[in-house]
Amino acid sequence: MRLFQNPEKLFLMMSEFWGGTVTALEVFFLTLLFALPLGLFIALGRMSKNAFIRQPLHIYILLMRGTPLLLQLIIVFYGPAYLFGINLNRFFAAILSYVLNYAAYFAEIYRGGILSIPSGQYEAAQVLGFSRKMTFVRIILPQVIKRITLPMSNEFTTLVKDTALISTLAIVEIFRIAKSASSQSVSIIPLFVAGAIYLILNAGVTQFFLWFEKQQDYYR
Amino acid sequence: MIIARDIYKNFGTNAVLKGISFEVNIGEVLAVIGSSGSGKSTMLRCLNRLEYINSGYIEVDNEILCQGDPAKYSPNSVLQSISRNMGMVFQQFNLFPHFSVLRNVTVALTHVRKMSKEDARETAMQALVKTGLDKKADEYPYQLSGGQQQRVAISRALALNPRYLCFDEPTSSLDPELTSEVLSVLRKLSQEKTTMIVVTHEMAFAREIADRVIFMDDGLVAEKGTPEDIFRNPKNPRTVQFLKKFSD
Ligand SMILES: Nc1ncnc2c1ncn2[C@@H]1O[C@H](COP(=O)(O)OP(=O)(O)O)[C@@H](O)[C@H]1O
Ligand SMILES: [Mg+2]
Repeated sequence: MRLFQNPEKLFLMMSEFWGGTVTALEVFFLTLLFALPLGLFIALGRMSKNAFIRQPLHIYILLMRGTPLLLQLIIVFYGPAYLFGINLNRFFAAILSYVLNYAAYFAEIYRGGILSIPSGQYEAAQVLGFSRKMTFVRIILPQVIKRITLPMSNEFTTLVKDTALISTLAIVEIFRIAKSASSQSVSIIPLFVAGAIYLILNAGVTQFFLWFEKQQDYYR
Repeated sequence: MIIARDIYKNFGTNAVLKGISFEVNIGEVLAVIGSSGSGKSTMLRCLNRLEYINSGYIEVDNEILCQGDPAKYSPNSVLQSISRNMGMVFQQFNLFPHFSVLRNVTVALTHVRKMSKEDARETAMQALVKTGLDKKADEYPYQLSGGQQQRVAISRALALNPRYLCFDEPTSSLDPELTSEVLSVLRKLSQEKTTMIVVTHEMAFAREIADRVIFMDDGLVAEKGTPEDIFRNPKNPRTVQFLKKFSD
């Protein structure tokens, strides 16, 4: 409880947590910004008739989903430095890893959604004279989005918690702050604070998805 | 006029159309009957380019869709001009669930035919009046009965004003009660001299509205003629056998 008897220290810890939260949010939103569209293109490529497009993406998805994100972070950051002497910006390397990893998961979710749309939808659109692109954008994608909302909400929630992994690249982050505050003040309270922050962030994610599902409730 | 000659279509090693020929005249109703698996849907789908034939000749209003062995399809501009004159109504309706009834009918008008919103709306409403669904314009497909959904699908096809309308068992997924409301829409269309190709298991209906009937059997046109020929004096033993199933 020493922490709370020292308001200055408490304030310092809180402002550090605030900084860590901002970093987590940056990682979260930047990852989504790039991984959501990238995942869609990977999904489409993964379903391509052309094996030279399909097979590499199949392997890519296998690698990304089959190995720990932790390892991917290390490889993306230290790999270029070790092999070519290129020093990537830590934050950039982190975002790159998250995007590459999450795009693979998103791709499989998109793919599942796309495959679940009955072929009659494509056929009706074709007979009405829609181009393939228009069919996908106007007819298929909106229905896919509705169908993948639930699995996507799972991924978003996991991503919030996965932001903790950027500490691997020595980037200050909520959990790292909590651990050092905890050892300095010999208290487990900072760890609970960290937990509470993730919980609050994910409560926000949950609220967003409740709203988003409701937006699509007008049809079945 | 549609002219189809010696159409062959196989799926892998499964020969589904084994050299069928038929024509469709403007203003007539052609009924296509035959047991399930005989290739009726495949035939319609080949006309709408949902399937591509292996060999044969198809011509629509003097424009060649494809010809030869293996079949060579015409350039895209020709294919598109032919497709503009073909409409299709599916057994499973295939409405767009995320669009209102009205939007289901207008979407091709605005996005393919590039009509203004107002014109598209007006055209769509006329097409919905025809099937008696103008009151449901703002509802969504899931709120409608199967019969109503199929009537929306018919309106959607009608709105594009195709010269030929293909129906693939339009009532096969409906209760008898709902079947009759869809059939009465088709009856009305036939009275207006809409050119239609109707694949159906409703023998009484085929007999009533068709100008000509094709009986398909195992990928071949086993018999064709007027409803009188087919239903009263079938020549082919297979036709006799098939029709017998419906008279019991
Ligand atoms: N896309 C397809 N792939 C493989 N076989 C098919 C396909 N579509 C139809 N068939 C086969 O073609 C045959 C005729 O089918 P279809 O044209 O649907 O007959 P019908 O409409 O008269 O019941 C069936 O044996 C069916 O299994
Ligand atoms: Mg069929």
